[in-house]
Parts: sequence; C-alpha cells; structure tokens
Amino acid sequence: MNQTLTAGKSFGTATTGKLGMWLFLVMDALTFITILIGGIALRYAAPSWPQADVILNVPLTAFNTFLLICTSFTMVMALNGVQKNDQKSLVKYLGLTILGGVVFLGIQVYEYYHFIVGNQSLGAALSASGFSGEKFLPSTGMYGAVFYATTSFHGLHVLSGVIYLFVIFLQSKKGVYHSGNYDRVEIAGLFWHFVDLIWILVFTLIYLV
Amino acid sequence: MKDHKKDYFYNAALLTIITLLEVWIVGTNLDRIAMVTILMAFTITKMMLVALIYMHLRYETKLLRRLIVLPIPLALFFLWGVVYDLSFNWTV
Repeated sequence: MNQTLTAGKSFGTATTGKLGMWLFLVMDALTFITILIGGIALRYAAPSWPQADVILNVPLTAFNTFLLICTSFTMVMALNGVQKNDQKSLVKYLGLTILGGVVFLGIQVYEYYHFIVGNQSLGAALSASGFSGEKFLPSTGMYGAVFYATTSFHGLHVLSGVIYLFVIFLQSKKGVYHSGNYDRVEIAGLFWHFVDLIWILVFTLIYLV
Repeated sequence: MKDHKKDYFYNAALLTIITLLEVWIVGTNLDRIAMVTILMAFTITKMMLVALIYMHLRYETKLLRRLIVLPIPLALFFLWGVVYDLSFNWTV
C-alpha cells in the first residue's frame, strides 16, 4: 500500500510521514547539540586543549566533508529524477549517494584505525599536545573522549543512512517509486541531508576551531 | 513541477567553496576570536544552505519552518545552563 496523507492545510503539501521525519530530526538535532555543547564546556574547563590540526588529519576530513556535500547533491538529484518519473536517474543517483556514504565511512574507519594502532609520528603529535603514548584513544583525556563521542555518534548516523538508502535503492530497482509515489524517497533524503548538515557543524567544532 | 537542478548544482559548488575557504582560514595567522567568528559564520551559512535548498525548507509553509526553528532557543538554553559548570575542571 502506498498511501500518503497530507498533514493539513497549514503544512501545505507536506505529508504526515514528512512531518514525522522533521519532528525526529529536530529531536536528533537537539541530541547532537547537547553532545557538542557538552564538548565545548569540557574544552573550556580543561587547563589545555590540543590544536586540532596537530593530531587530526584536517585535509583528509575536508575531503570527507566535500564527499558528503556531493552525496547531498546526488540525493537531491535522485529525488528530482523520481519526481520526473525518470527511473534510471533515481537508481543512478541513489547508488552514487550510497557509494559516497560508504567511502565516507571507509575514510572514518581508516582515520580511527590510524589513531588506535598508533605510530611514532602520532606519538610525537600527542606528546606535543601534552599526552603520553603513541595511540589516540577515547581514553586520551577529555579531548579523546569528546572526539570519539562526537564523530562516532555521527558515523552511526551515516551508517543508518546508508542502510536506509540501500532499502530505498532496492525498492527503486523494483520500480516501486514514480512521479505519483516518491514520499519515502523524499523522507529518506531529509535524513541524509540532516547527516550532512550535522557534519558541517561537527567538522568546524572538532576539526577546525 | 519546477526544475531546481541549477539551484542544486550551484548550492553544491557554493558549499565546496566555503569549505575550502574554511580550511584556508585555519592555515592563516588570523586572530583567534576573529577566526572562530568567521568559521562559525561560514558554518551557519552552510547549514542554512543545506536546510533551505537541499531539504526544501525554502519551499515549505511558514508554520513548518517555524516549528523547526523553534527548538533553537532551547539549545541556547542548554548552552546557558552549562556555562555555570565551565569553572569546574573535568580532567581525569
């Protein structure tokens, strides 16, 4: 059954499903904001805080940010395709969005692996920031705790988004969605764009400032 | 249905340019307060571009837009709440 209900005149053409996703996103945003504000409070209470680019790989993460921006573009192009009944475009752009999400996660895993395994240059960077050892772990002071809590919580959102989009992708391949039924594609898109929107904030607060 | 393809492309290009500017600014010797202010301004701009163009908030009704923006003061209230704990040293 593919019934969609509009939420009422005050919400224009927005469906109940879309409104539900927006409500979820608002609550999720507040959760992220709480984590980020907690991180800011811990940072300013700490006697010292490392400069982000000493330990973290800013250029690599900037590339990841660019990648997530590109996936937001491909996601909105997928929606544009289904609105015009262009099935090929829908499947192609959804596939590209999923691929971008998987590469994003791959880069994040690579970054974590590099930190958890550790090496001499990382040890030197940690030492310059007042930490001991050659590994950057969640237990590496409050800095490590804030870094891993924020980035892993976002990473889980990306993983959820990739799984969510993969389900939509499989349904799209079966021809479930068309110009008269694309509500679920739009709702999944809202979640994906939200993941991008939050990353923009995380990137600035964790990697740049 | 109106085609927004161009808007979507220009938005992606603008977001990429702002991201590059952010990375460039971090490498300069700009005053810390000025740098944080500029970076936060860029971040808010990028977030608004994603919400308005990609999430189509620009095309939604006033009521829906207000409902989504309304919790922001709540977030600021959280921030105000934790300001009191800033003097406490949480380091383990």
